[in-house]
Amino acid sequence: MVGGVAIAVGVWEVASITNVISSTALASVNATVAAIGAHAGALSSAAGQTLEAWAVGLMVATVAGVLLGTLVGRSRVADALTETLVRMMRPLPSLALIPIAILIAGLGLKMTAGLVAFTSFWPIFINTRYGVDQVESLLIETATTLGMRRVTLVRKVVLPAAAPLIASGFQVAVSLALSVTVAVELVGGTGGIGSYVLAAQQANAVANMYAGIVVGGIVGWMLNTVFAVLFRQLLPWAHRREGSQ
Amino acid sequence: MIAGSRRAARLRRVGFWALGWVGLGVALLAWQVAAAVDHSPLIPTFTSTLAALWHMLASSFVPSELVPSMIRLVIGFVVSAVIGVVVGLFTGYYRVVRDWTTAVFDFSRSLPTPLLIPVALVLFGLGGTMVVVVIASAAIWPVLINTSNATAALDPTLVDTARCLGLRGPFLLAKVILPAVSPKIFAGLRVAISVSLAVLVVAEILGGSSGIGYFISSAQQSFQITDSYAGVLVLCLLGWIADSVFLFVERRLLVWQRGIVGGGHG
Amino acid sequence: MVEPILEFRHVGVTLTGRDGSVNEVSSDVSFSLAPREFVSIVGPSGAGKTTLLRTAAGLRRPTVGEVLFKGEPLSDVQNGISVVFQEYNKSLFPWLSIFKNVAMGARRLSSAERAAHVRAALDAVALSGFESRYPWELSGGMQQRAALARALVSDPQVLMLDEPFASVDALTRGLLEDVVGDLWERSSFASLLVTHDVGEAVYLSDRVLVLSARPSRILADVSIDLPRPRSQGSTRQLKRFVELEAQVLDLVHRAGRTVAGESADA
Repeated sequence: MVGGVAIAVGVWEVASITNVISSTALASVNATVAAIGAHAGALSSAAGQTLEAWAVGLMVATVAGVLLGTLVGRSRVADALTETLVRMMRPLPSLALIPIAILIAGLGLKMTAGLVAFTSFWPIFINTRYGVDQVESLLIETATTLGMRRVTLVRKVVLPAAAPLIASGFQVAVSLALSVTVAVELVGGTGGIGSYVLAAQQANAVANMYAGIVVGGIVGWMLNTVFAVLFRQLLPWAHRREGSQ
Repeated sequence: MIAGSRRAARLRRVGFWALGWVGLGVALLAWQVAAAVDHSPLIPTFTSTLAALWHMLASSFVPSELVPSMIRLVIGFVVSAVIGVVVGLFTGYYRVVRDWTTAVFDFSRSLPTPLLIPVALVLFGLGGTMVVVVIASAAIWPVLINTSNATAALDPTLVDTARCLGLRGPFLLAKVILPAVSPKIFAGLRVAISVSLAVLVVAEILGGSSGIGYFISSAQQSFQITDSYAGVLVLCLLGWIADSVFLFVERRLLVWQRGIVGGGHG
Repeated sequence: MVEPILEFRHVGVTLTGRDGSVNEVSSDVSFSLAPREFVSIVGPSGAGKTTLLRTAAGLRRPTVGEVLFKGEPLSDVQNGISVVFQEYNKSLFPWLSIFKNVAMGARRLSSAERAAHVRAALDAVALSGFESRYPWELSGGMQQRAALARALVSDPQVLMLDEPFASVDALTRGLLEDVVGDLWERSSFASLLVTHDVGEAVYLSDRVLVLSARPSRILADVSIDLPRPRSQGSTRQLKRFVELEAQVLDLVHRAGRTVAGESADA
């Protein structure tokens, strides 16, 4: 595994040393690492800004997605009513809404977080709806004979049974939200990693640009890893099937 | 008796399908009413957006914005699909290759793709090539990862059976492994399409000199808000059409899969 | 004595796990299979029966010793050896119709010949009329018959069966045993059956080999001197059948007990 990383870094270094890609477009590994060191403060505050918008947006999306997804998933009519709407909205590139969102909400955390929330809502909502709908009816019947009703039934049986699917929707939302945050920062220049990278590119500070990209990659990778590990710990039953085969 | 219940089931299906359009209609009506009541210049009504769309379709919008975007989209998507499937099969089938590439691939797909736009701008300048490269480098991951995971998780019995039947090399790949993982490839491609569309827009906003993204953003900057909305509507329709075509093709190609998915209950 | 079609000479198989753990599955297995002979291998669970069969099919190489097919060392899958696996639902290709599945076994024939052979094979297992169905549209017993047809369509010299009837209900199982028995009587292939069902082994075989627990060796080679043709109704009532079944069962139980403590992980 480490070997693969070493080779990738090696290819990067060779590409920059041999000038296969011109040095105005590709900084060497050393220069990039040096840039990360030199601008650690600016980079970490940019990363912090990005994470703030990401977290606020994702939180709103999660609450709304799980709540509405459960309600809709439990009702066949609501499910049917939202079907076409969801199918139209799901592939809609919400990034196209950036210009409109800027107009309506102005530049700032509210706009970024709002757009992040809107985009990450869909995978969470869709997976929750599907997961809740797919819960084995036998499981629900059993719970009913045990005297569980409504809220208790949903909380104790339906949601845990749907949790693996909800979690995978959330994981999609985690990286989607980060992409949207960065995209808004790029287009709107609202600060954060996206603006940092664009500013570096416009100032022809190639090493600085790569420093921002590497930091963005590390942030993304850490978020993905943290949630993958977290869900493996929290939802051991999600991996039951894979484990037994 | 059986025919009757079948007809009832069919009626119910049609009913649910109709409900879906009713839901869409209600949402559009809500938009219309809200915009009409609010009277804000920032939120045009649905009908005025439709009118703008109608006007656009008759204007130079189609040849000078829509068509270039579609071409970029298709090239970027096809490139990412081909590379994704080939590399995914390779890394999935050979454990050694997988072990060596996992970390790098994990990092690359975690990288928020829009960050690559400035790099693509430096490398390729403004214009279509840059957009295509960005699309391809974003859309490749869902395809590659899905193909690789599905190939790695192939049942050994299936591969053993194929080997015992004398299939090997390219035959094994084309006749057994590819069809066996095709459902997962399709799932990945479907994600890749929406990723492509999203990245297309941002890349065009930042560095296109034409295309839908460029159109939406320049309409916004010149305060032709209704045109901006109409552009979003076009994307919405485009996404929906792509998704529908996809589902249709998938359903035709993967008829065999229906029985397996539903097999547990029936 | 006739030259054996398949011969195991002091075969030992050691599996190396991903984490580097070493597991000696069998230590020293020797036996031979004469042309047209029906031999079964039984043993306690975890004795490595399936691993031995995979070795016999050329799917894996022995760690020590050698496997000879028609006097030549076997190093890869070979024309003339067909295998039917236990999991018909994983070994039939779900994306191919029954006809095309069976045709996969006859890829070496010209296409004109192929169709005739496939039809004959399907006829032999009473599946005529199901050519265009997909595997999931058939019952478990029918699917396993299709797998059998696919194995036999190439006219093999050895048919290997890995717990072929373990996934179907008891009634279907008896019927399938007779399908195999009949086909074997009418054709000229030798058969190697791996099973944990002692009655089935005795019912079908000329000889039954009893494996020890891991690392396995052959503990006993029991000749089955029951008259042929056999049938579920009469053969299983014979006093001699009951005696032989009890004798083999006793051997298997003793084999399982000797190393009961060690096989806990298997």
